[in-house]
Amino acid sequence: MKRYLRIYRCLLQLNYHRMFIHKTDTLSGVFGSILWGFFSIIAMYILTARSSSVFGWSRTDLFVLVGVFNILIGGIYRMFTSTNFDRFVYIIQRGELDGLLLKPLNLQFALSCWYISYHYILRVILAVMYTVFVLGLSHVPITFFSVLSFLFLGVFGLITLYSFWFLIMTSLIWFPDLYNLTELLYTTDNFSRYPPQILWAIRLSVFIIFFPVTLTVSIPAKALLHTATTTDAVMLVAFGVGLLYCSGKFWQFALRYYTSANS
Amino acid sequence: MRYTKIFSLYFQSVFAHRGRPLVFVLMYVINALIYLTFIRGVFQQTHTIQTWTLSSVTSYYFLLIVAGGTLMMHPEVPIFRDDFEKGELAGRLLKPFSYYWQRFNIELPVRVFQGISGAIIAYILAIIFHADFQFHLSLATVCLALIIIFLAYFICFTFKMILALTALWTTEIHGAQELTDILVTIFAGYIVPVNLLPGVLEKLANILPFSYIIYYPIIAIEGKLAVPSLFSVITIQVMWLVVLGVLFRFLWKKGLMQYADFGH
Repeated sequence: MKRYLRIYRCLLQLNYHRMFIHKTDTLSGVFGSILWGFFSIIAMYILTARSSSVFGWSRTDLFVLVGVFNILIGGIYRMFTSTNFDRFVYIIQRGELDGLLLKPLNLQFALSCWYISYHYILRVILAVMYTVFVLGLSHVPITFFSVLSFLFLGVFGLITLYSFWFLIMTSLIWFPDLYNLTELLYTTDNFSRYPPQILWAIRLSVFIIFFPVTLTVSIPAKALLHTATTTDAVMLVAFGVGLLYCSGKFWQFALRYYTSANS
Repeated sequence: MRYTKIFSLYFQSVFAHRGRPLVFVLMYVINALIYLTFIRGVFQQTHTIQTWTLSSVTSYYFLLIVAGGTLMMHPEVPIFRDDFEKGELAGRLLKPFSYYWQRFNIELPVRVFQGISGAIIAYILAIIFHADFQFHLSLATVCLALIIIFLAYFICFTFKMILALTALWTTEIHGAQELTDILVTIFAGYIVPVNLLPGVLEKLANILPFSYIIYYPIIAIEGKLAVPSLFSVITIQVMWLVVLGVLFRFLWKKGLMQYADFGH
């Protein structure tokens, strides 16, 4: 564990320097991430322009949900994880996994933690400011307990989403041609931007697989709104731990079918 | 004959790698279903919103899947990656077709495949959701709607080609691409039909070209527009196409002077 922490610290430093080497890329990343943040707010504004509440969530609750989405998924998750999944595709498609398999590192760690996109920090900061502002507007008090439970549930929300992505991405071992699978996952993240009830209202049983995704943001948001229940918290923690375990096991299983370069 | 041959060759390639375009269609399906379900939540409190009923809005979102798959293309991605970054443009310049039509030929089979896949999925969803597609069309409105779809395709393609060409100066189109994606999502009618956009956003949507790529073709084929309205949409589309066409030719001439093989 200590060794991995040391490696991760090294990766943090390397990625910090990488940010300054590719300045245009960093700037365009900052620009893009903030734009998508604004987009999520505008989209919610458009969707709720003709209604004061949807699926039992008031308009302000929905705006808090968007803020939490931008902190957790649009900010933190994209910063630490998403870029690595983009790399994941190339590694498998080009047969570079062989090289990684030879390294004395946990493969899941090497695939998931290599890149850190620091430019999302600004989006996190802006999203925190926005969320505090919206909570203030709706007269919801921000207490120590609500922040603490938000942080705790937020961590499990991120673990749940990471595990879900990893489970889906593992299928690349069998279908290395699907390089745009990450784009589909970015789209499925949209489920977390809206109330979880949406999923049940879709009435398609195949969409049940996205149920954990809908919890990743809604339950931490409920914690901030003081409406989260113990059942909510237990469910999210259970999904986080369970999916993390399953993703690791499924990856080990899938590796048996990896047939090296140009598989 | 040779154009048919080119089309069939590219179509074979698309069909060989059919998983990729299907993933893109699935993205349209997921987004359409999310927005549709949210709007259905709004309809729990009211029966009509402006001219839209639950039934008409449902069929709108299903047609959106087909329109998105067929009309919303992304030639800028391979152009930037392959032609500009990897320097494949030099080879393309030597071919006996203009660059615009080469890229058009590559893009068309993808659109046909995605359009067919989208139509099949939309039909299945319509059965599940008991959606009632209502096409109030006459021979005249069908012809005009088809012209609108045809023009929409060219507007989108030319616009995306211009976006790709900007990379010859900026060497990076990531930011511009994200901005365009956001504008398209808001103003083309992906989130809600354009006439349900609040206030100034609706006015902006009618000025910008994006609603003429997705929203107007959909409501035209549904027969929601009268003949005079169809003609005014076509007029605006032609204006946009002329503006974009002139801009493309200008940027292409200037851009070629910027381009230096290999890569930038």
